Amino acid sequence: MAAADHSRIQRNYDTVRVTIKQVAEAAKVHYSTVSKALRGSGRIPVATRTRIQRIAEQIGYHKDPVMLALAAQRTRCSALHREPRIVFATNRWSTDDVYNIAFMRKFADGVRHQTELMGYACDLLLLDNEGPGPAEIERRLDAARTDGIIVGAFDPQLRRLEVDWSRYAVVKIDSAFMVPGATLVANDQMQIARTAFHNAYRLGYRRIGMTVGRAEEQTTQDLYSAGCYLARDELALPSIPILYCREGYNYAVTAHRVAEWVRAHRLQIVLSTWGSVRELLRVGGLQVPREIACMCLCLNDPDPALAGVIQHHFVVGQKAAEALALLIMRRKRGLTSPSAATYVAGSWQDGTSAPPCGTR
Amino acid sequence: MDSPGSDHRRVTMSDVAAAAHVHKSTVSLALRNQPKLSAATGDRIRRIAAELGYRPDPMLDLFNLYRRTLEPPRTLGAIAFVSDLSNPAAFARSERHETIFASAREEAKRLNFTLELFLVGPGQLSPARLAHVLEARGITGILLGALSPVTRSLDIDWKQFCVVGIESMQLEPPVDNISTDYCHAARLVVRELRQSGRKSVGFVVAEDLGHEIEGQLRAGYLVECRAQTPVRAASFWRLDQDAGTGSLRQWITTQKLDAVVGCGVDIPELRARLSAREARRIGWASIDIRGAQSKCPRVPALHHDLGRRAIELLIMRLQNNLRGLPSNPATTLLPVEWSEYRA
Repeated sequence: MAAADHSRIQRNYDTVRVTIKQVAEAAKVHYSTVSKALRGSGRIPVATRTRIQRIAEQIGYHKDPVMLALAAQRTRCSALHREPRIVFATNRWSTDDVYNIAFMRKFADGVRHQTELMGYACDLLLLDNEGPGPAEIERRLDAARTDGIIVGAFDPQLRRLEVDWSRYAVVKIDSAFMVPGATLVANDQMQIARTAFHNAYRLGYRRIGMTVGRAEEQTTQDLYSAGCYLARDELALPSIPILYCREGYNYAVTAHRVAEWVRAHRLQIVLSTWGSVRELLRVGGLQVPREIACMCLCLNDPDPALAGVIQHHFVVGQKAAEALALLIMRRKRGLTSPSAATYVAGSWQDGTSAPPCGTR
Repeated sequence: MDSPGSDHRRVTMSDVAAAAHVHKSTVSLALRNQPKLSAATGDRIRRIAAELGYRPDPMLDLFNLYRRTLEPPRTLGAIAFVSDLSNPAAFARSERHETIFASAREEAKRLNFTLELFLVGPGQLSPARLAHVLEARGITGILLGALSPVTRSLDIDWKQFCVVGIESMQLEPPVDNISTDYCHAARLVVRELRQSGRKSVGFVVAEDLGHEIEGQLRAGYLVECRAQTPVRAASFWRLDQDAGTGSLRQWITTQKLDAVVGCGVDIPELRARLSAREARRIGWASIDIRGAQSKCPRVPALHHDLGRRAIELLIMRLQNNLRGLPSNPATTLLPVEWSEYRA
């Protein structure tokens, strides 16, 4: 049984596709009977219907979206036709955190924009702790005849999504801790850190420190750190240890830790994944930009008071929809490990928190 | 969540044509942003289509693609594979370019497109001439097939074209690229060599390897070695064809290396630069880029995947008329694997 499950996950729908003729052969009926049975037609006795449906499931029959398109074409685009449907799922939408909602909305808007452009329908699935259980979710996905799922930037602290992934095309945005084997789309954190270092250098800074979230770095396999090491190597900058902070930890304690690190290494500028890095440094007793300059590595929108790199969440959403459409085009369901990853470049934004070094 | 909209008729191109008082083939041209149509007419028809709620039908596209695979060959159009190698013979000699091209062509053929090779650069087509030829032939899809690092830009009006780059990250303005995950390849190699007891790993990089790819390799090496302080970036050595045997030996000695990773270089040739005893002492590994037979543990090149995946992406963009350059470029990294050497 375990071996059979495994083969189902690994199945390549391009090459191995079970047709209704094979179901008919196994059930020893004509294939038109199988067709009727699978559509739940009343012209087939209930016992025969359930027997055929059971056999179809056993040998792994799935409806083929391409054949559904054929059916639609034959009936001149009328009632039978359906749009391919994808679901954008996230557990973060319902949190009260305004920042989370802002970037989640951009991911979702990007996904919706691109899916509509390509003619797909897109549903939102918002998971919160009171929401429907796994069985109910799967029932709804079935009822909507969902072809693909985008796992949208899940918060590891909140509820997970558990479905039979082998039945859907799957793409995830961030969420590195979830669904190993799903195609990943994310912001290009390596390029983003590298861009920030190069701009700090261009502005005349040499003692540059970077502080990022510890959990995020672990799940993304140290992409910000890789960008930092590469830029330091390219620019021959002094090697200052990266400060890894615990996400969601006591703000004041973190602020003092950051300030201590700034003083210990005589930093001129801090690059950080904190959206509120200016405020964080102020709480730590440092004046921006008089005593210390700073940049944010994950700006949502241009902010004249905060220099840094804008992450394009809308574009990440678009690329996720494109990646999912590619999987559906290849009729590729389920997970493959290792899998591909698409990274969207960020873009540089000047701001008063990092004036040219020496003009402060 | 029962499919909404499943019980009313779809808006078709014929409906749009009737509303706009044009032939439906004109609607088709307008919706594909074809330059054959005046901008005013195109805009008018697209506006009417939007008002009526016309939406493309990806499943019908898929079905059409599928149906064409059953029919006798009738091509849907050509896609341009653009290379900057100096002549057809040089292209044929490069295993990397040949394999990428062949796999891209095979995938294009499966989807009933043809793939044609166009060479740009000195003595070949100028970018402007290339754009002119493609326009005249109605070719709108361009694959940039692993352009060499010296080609830093192509002066083409990209608005007319759907474009996907294969390992051409050096281009300005940038295009979306499909690339091998070189950063992870470097991490994988360092990890494997460490596990087999090697302490000090150096990288030899081919002289014509782009700085973007070398940067990815360096990033992977540096992040994997961060436990060592100071991290020794001098562990990268760019192969210079003119350099004698002495310099490789000297570099290995001064860096106190006990393992060498070749990136796009011929490992047997490197070994031959050392004495037999020295060559045996070193742990060799290869990150294959050109596809040369390395005769050591390696991260195999992904030329087949690169060609196939790039064509898939390009054809999907052609079907959706996603033309022009991206405002925010994206790179898709294909996963690499470690492969032990068996003699």
